[in-house]
Amino acid sequence: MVLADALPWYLVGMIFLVGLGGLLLNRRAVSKVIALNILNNALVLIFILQGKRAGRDAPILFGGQEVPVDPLVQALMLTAIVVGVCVTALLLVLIQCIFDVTGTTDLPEIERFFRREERGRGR
Amino acid sequence: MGGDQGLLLPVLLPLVGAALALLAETWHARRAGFTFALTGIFAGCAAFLVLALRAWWSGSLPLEGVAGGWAPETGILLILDLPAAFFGPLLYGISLVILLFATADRSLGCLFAAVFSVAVAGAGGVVLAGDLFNIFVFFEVLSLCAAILIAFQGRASAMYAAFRYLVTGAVCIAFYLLGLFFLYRATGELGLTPLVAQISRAGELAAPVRLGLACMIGGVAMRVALVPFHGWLPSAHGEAPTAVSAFLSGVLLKTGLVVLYRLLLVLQAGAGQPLVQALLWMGVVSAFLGAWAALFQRDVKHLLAYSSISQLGYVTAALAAGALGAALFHSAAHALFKSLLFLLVGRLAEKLGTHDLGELRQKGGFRGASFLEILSFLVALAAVTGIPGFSGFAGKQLVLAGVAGAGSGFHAWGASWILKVAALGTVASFGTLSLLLLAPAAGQRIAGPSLRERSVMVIFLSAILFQGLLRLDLLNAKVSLEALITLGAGGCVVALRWVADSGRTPEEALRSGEERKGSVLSAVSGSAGTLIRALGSLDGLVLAMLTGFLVLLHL
Repeated sequence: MVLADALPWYLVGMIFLVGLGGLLLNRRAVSKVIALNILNNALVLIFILQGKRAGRDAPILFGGQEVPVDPLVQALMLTAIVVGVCVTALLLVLIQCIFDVTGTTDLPEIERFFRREERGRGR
Repeated sequence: MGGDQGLLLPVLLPLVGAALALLAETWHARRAGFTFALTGIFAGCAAFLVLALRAWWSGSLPLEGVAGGWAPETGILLILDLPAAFFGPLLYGISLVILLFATADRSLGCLFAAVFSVAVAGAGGVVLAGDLFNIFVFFEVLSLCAAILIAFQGRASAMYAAFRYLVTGAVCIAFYLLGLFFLYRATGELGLTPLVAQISRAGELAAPVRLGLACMIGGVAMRVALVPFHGWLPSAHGEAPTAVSAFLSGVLLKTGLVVLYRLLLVLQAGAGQPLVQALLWMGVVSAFLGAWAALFQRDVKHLLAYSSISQLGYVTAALAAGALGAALFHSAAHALFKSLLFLLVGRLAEKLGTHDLGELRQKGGFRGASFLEILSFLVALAAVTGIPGFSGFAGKQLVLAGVAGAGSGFHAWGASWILKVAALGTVASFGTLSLLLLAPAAGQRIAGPSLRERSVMVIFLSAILFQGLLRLDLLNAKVSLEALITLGAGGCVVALRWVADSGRTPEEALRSGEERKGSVLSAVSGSAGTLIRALGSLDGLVLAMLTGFLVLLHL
């Protein structure tokens, strides 16, 4: 019983760590954006799980004896999801523009490209 | 709560200006767009000023309100405390002046004015937000706009700087949300005032609350660019258009300070001393490393950027030591002189077509500039290096007094000494920058500033001088002597570097660098270069931040 209660938390924690690991271990810019999304979604899940501790029914259209979940966290997470979408969109646009110039999405390659360019400017 | 509804006005007015500027963009009416944006920010500034002064006179300073007249549990909480009342009008005023400066740059259209206005509204929102979740929302508004502004001119290197800024920001804001979750789980509150009340009733920080606050402090430290979280700043400041660099340094960094102050309120309610100490030391280490890293920059904008890290370190140390007045004074001083420096140096670099300090000197530096520019540059330098009688001097004295007075023993003593050594680094790095005035050749004349640019310079100049005059009472023989000794020592460092560099043309310097290849020294400097490059890459930044979070969580 205890394990069944704790299991979702462990899973969400693992998703969070997968996001962090993906962010650190991937070389490609698009993969990093995906990892950021995973990180963000893990946070959304964490908050929703917290809201579920208050009750189990949807916090809308009450019939009488429902015990609703915490509606506040759902409102918060709606905002957080929207913010996450904006960040992702902007990041992808930036990657596209960088790709147009450098011809690669591999981050070490991009950094090398800009260092070369800088040295060219220096002379 | 009827009277407090005006609290949302400073956020709404620039947004209206932004919407109108976007409309003007569709008609290609550049002048109208900038006018709308400037009016919006000006109206916001005026609203802020009226609110702040009214609250100040009536003595109701932590003024709270709910947007739209909802009940406090369901509505959006807004709060106007002392830092908000101070920073709000100041930041809006500086943004207004910077946008006025940007009108001179023909490459920036209405869209720029619109995004800039939204960014200003985001900054106002962060300053006014009364609960921790809204701080997150406004932070994201601000950082999305800032990323667009950084990349605005469409150079690929600027895009990459914006990308780095967004990714590091997203990681930090993820940790901020995680911290928010811990706080909400433990207390069930998000509003600042109820949170402080509940924690001070408990009298101590429970373990989850402490964990949450550690995460949030790390997330906000990235916005203030404290040391393990600072990596995004130099490239972002360096690649952005001139006006945006000034905005980032003068406005964006300051918004985080208000949030840090509010988190410190929560911490102090629960006597969370280790975290307060950690923040103090983060500030001190930033002050030290930022100032000395600035000395080794060849790119003038990077030099100014690292010095921003250093100055914000001073302010954070003062905040953590509980010296709110010192923190406000020094951050206002920094906002004024660093914005002016970015505008002057950025304009020079744009006109001469290079950011490299040596090349700028070869091309004549400030020798081709107008009298007003040289005067503003000298005054800003005097303020940043802390020549007695200028604002930077008074600010540093206040911060040092605040840190030394925070407690006895090793922490206060060590911190104030490290801050003094950091001041030496600041003097040395800005001494190097002042070599721009002593260029070897007269070089090319650059076009004089337009009327608008000149008026912006005069505004900043008089504000800096006025702020220095405000605290002339701090001037006495002992501290002045100390400041002069620091100046002299910094001058020696600059002179040593100059002697080492002069008499060698760049080609010779390159050749001697190649000759030294293979010696032990160059092996060391080569591996140091590799290390710095690895730390400067995106993975390095994220890794440094995660280490910072681990240390904070451990406390």
